[in-house]
Amino acid sequence: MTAIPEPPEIPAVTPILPLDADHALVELAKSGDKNAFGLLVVKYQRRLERLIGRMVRDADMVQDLTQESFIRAWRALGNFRGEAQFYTWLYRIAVNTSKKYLMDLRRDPVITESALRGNSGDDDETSAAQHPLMDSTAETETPESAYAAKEIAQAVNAAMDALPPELRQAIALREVEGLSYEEIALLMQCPIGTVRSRIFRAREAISLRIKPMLQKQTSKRW
Amino acid sequence: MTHSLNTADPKEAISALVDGQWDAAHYGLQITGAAAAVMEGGELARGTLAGLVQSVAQDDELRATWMGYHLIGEALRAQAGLGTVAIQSPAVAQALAPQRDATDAANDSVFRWKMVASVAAMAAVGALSWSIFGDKPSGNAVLAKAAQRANLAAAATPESPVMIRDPRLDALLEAHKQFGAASALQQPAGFLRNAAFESGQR
Repeated sequence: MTAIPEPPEIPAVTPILPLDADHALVELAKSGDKNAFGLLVVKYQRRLERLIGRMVRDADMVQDLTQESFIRAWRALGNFRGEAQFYTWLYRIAVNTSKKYLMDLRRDPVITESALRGNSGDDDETSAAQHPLMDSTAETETPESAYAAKEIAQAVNAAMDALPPELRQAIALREVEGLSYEEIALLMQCPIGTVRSRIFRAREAISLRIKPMLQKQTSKRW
Repeated sequence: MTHSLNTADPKEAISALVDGQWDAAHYGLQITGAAAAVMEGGELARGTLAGLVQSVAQDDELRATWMGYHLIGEALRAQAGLGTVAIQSPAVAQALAPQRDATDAANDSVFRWKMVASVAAMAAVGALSWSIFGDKPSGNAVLAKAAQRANLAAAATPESPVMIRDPRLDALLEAHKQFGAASALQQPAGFLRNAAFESGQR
């Protein structure tokens, strides 16, 4: 009987915060750290704009409603209990904000300040009308944003093609497969520090290519 | 309490934060004084995280880095079919789907077209049987439609160039042709198109 090989030794890891980076930032924000909330805004602003753009045809209102959603989320942050993903909760707020706008539009085409104020009261963080991960973008992009997204995608592709295989694999396993550093380390049979370094170097290499496009898009609304 | 980031490149810390792999021991701040003695575990981690967040908030380049790293992830996930911006790159496709067999991808369109052809052929046989045994007045129109579908399917052999067809477009064209024939007579006039076919049977 052949001996069963020993599994590879799991590299020792130092204690780290939970995998969901949003929770760490949310906890900081809950303690009053506006900068932490600002990072969440930068992270989710585009996604929220796409979501709201699917519901609200008025392109001018999309950015306003996005900002309104973030403001409501900031005010209601104390109600976020962490039972669901932060984006699920944020998604629900954005949907409610958009619905309220649309209902007010039907009642009165001229939207007043008082119509935008108010509390929907049903920002349940565990419920969502639609799975937030399934938001598609094709039918909601403006021509300019679609072109920008295509430019970035092409630049990312070109940069990935130019990466050494180990960097390309590391970032793909992280970003697409959603594996943790520990899982990637096991898969690639290297220390976690090496995984961390490879992913960072891959991102830096890709960032160099997309930097000129990002300079057009960096938002300072918050 | 003095905070200074204990790493040569804060972008590496940002990269780890994007992945939720914030490691306080690796990116720990130089916290001086008595605070260092009492802080431990999660509290130390939160303290160093607050320092990083502050650095990012105050620095345009670091903020752009935070945004850029997320955009990269979005673009990669979209490429993998988890979004809608899909521009194929062979190297990326290989990195993202190492289990996929390249020959399967090459045969996919042919297989799909073969399926369409066989379904259309079955429809043609069914319509032919119906017109023969069903004795319906519109049997010829149905037969003509089914034959047209079969002809279209047969035309798309593996030897001929594979044409991408949208079933919805086909249905729309079919409906257009049907109603187009009726425009002059205000009634279905499929028999007019088939007059030469029918005359041979008399």
